[in-house]
Amino acid sequence: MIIDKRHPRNLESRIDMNLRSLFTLAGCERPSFRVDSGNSVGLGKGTSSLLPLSPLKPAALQRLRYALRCHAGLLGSLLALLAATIASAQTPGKAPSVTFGAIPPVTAQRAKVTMVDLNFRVPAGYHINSNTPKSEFLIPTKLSMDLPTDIILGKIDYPAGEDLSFPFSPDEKLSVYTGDFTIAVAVHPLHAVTPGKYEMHGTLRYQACDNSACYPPKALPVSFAVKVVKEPAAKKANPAQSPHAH
Amino acid sequence: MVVAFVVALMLYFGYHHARRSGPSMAPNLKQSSLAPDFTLPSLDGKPTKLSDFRGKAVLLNFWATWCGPCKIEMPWFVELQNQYAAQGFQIVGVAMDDASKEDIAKFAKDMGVNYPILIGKESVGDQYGGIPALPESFLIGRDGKIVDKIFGLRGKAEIEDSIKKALNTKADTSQAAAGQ
Repeated sequence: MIIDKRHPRNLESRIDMNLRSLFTLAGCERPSFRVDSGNSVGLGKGTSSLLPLSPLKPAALQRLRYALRCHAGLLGSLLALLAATIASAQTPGKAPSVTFGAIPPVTAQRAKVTMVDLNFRVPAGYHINSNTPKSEFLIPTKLSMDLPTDIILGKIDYPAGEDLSFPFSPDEKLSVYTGDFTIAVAVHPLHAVTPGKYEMHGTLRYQACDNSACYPPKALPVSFAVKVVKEPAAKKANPAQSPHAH
Repeated sequence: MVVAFVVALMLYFGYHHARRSGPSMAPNLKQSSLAPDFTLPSLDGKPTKLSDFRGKAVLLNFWATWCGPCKIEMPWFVELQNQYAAQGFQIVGVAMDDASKEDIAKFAKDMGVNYPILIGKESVGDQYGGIPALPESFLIGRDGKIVDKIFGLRGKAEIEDSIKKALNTKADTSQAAAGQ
């Protein structure tokens, strides 16, 4: 009987799969366990040099023996991974990325202004300048929307920045966004717009810093869908009563 | 058990190093390797070559007008330039900026910068490991070799220690002789 290693409910196959991953990581030769009809276990081709075939050993014992043999290699691999993790964390990383929270399609009525809230998140430990930084040299956070043909994207409302001071400039307060912030965009479909779904695109430009360094400006693509609907039908005025009506 | 312990260790150290606010070394360039040479225009348009400063201890500072921490260390640089110039020390600023040359010049003037500012370009940044963040400085010995790298804002005293390290190097006379 060959154990079906693909079946997720098979405990033995799961153990096998986990062991295989660890063995591969440790650089051990990949074992191929096979259980024969006599319930003894053997090894597949290519592994006999690593461990002599012992048909009388139960499967679990065989696997344990493998694990012990490869233990040093495994530990070495994991320690190497640990060192690599520390090394990579010590080197300056990529510029932090502000993320945009996708929003469901916004329903906007023709000939009417609808405000759309766009939610952004600055990664913990970083800040970006607000739309109105306190120095002419600082790069403001700015949302630029592409111009659609029939839908006017009007006023963009930026939140006020937080006035914070940082270790690199304790005596000076900077106007920044940290964590979550929302920018509101006015959407105004013209009266002539055909009802339907429209995709709005734009770019958020920002420049992030942490407590000791600043990262080059980045541009984040922003998009959201607008479902344009007709304005509600005007209420019919009650017909004037005919003076001759009976 | 061992696996879980090691993975937990990796996560712990990885997290703490990543969250560490202190600066660290820039990647790619090894200490004691020769500082990559380049030619960049200065604010007055004059092409300036890094190797022109060979024989001096150089602090090569990558900065930008939009970088708050860079602005903090500039007055220190002005003081350190004055303090160590006589010993053969030279700061060279490289503006990695999208701002116009005029804006960079205005910024430098406002900060009272007393050392040459060059207009940087990406290819030069790439030579120095990509400059993923600013400020970033390289201390170059009199022999043209990198003796220290500073990523992010550090204290003035630490910068000064690195400068002293660069000043303690000896000029490579064989190269100087070969160049004559």
